[in-house]
Amino acid sequence: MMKRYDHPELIERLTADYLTGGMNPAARRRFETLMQDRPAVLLAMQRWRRKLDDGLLGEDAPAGVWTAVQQRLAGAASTAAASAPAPRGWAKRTWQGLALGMGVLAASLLMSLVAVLQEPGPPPPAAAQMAALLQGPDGHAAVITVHQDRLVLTAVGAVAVPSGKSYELWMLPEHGKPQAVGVVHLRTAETLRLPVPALEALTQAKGFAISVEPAGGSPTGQPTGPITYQGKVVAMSNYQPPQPQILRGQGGGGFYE
Amino acid sequence: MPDLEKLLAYTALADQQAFAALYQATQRRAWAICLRLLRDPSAAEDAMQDAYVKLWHQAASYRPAQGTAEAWLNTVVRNTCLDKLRALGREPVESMDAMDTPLDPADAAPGPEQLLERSMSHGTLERCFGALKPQQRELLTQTYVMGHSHRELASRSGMALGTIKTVIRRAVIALRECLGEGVAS
Repeated sequence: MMKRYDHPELIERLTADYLTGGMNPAARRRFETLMQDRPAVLLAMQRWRRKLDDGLLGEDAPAGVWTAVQQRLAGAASTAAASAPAPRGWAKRTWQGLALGMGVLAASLLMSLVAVLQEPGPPPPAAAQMAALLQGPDGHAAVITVHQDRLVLTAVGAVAVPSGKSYELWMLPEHGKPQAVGVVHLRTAETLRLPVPALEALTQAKGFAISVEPAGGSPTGQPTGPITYQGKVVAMSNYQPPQPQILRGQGGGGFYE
Repeated sequence: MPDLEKLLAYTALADQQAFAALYQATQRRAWAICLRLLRDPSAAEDAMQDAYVKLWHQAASYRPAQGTAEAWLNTVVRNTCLDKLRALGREPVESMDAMDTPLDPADAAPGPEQLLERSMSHGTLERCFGALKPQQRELLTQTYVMGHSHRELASRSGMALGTIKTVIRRAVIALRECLGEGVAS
């Protein structure tokens, strides 16, 4: 049976409304979801866009515009290289690796991360060898980077800890049980020293997850409550764990100090 | 159309290839906006340069929650062109004249001039867009090219919101009928 959004007439009408300002923001978001879910809707939108582009936009900009933009940016870069707020090298590599293959939602998250990244802050730590993007509830997210035996967790959108509970971060190895990393607060950036078992299993890390646990962390050493954030490791550069000289237990705090 | 949000994100990270791709994907509309607002190719070129230099530096200030990347880009371009206009001591003269033409539902049939224009034009697309009434074409341009919402247009022109919607809807229907298989191909 043909479903509502399978009707070509309706698709065409919605598409035209979408492209010509005929939808309010909520309707636009619904239509964008529809485009992601239904290739026929996306194709209709692309067809209309092509026609409207050709009918209403006219010619390309003169080639000189782009040349002049490049020259102006090159000039600005050469005169202000020392003070330019260019992204830090490690960060750029990490986020670019992180973004590879990500979809629209993740691109939005990346945009938020750029904002986090570009806030003035202390000097960067050693290059990150591993990164992961964790997706949480209601569009919240968290980014993990691992630098030797330290892990930095940056929350995008702070969330409140449920009363009488704690969030606990877990490293998920390719084989074996989750490894506890520590209790986290999901407010801006926090740094944890990796416990030895997690550090030893880090080369096998395939992802990270955050669960809701009793206050202070899981009493069993394994997740006991619901998983609220999870994501895969998406960038790794020949991670070599440092020689263990690490205290057992949870780390945290002071990494940038 | 490539994923503009992703290209903006990379641009914010000073990725020149992403910025070039962003320019390539958006320059045609930006040029149409600048040309329409400034009505002087030389001033439009200057303003468009300013707009893209600004986009390079301000890419990180885009927030997805506030709207689409395309809408944000168009706003930056439009505001830069309006700044240029003011710097030149001119007032925005974006024509809304065609919108003042009363909507006449009985006026659907093309007149002799329109018929002649159609016969002389080349290509279905050109013929179909050329066959739109000035008011229809103007409102389509205001929404599709300039990025104004129906509500903004109603506020600026003094026309009723319902009338704006009707004119645009009829323009779209006229295009669909004229293009026929063309839209779907």
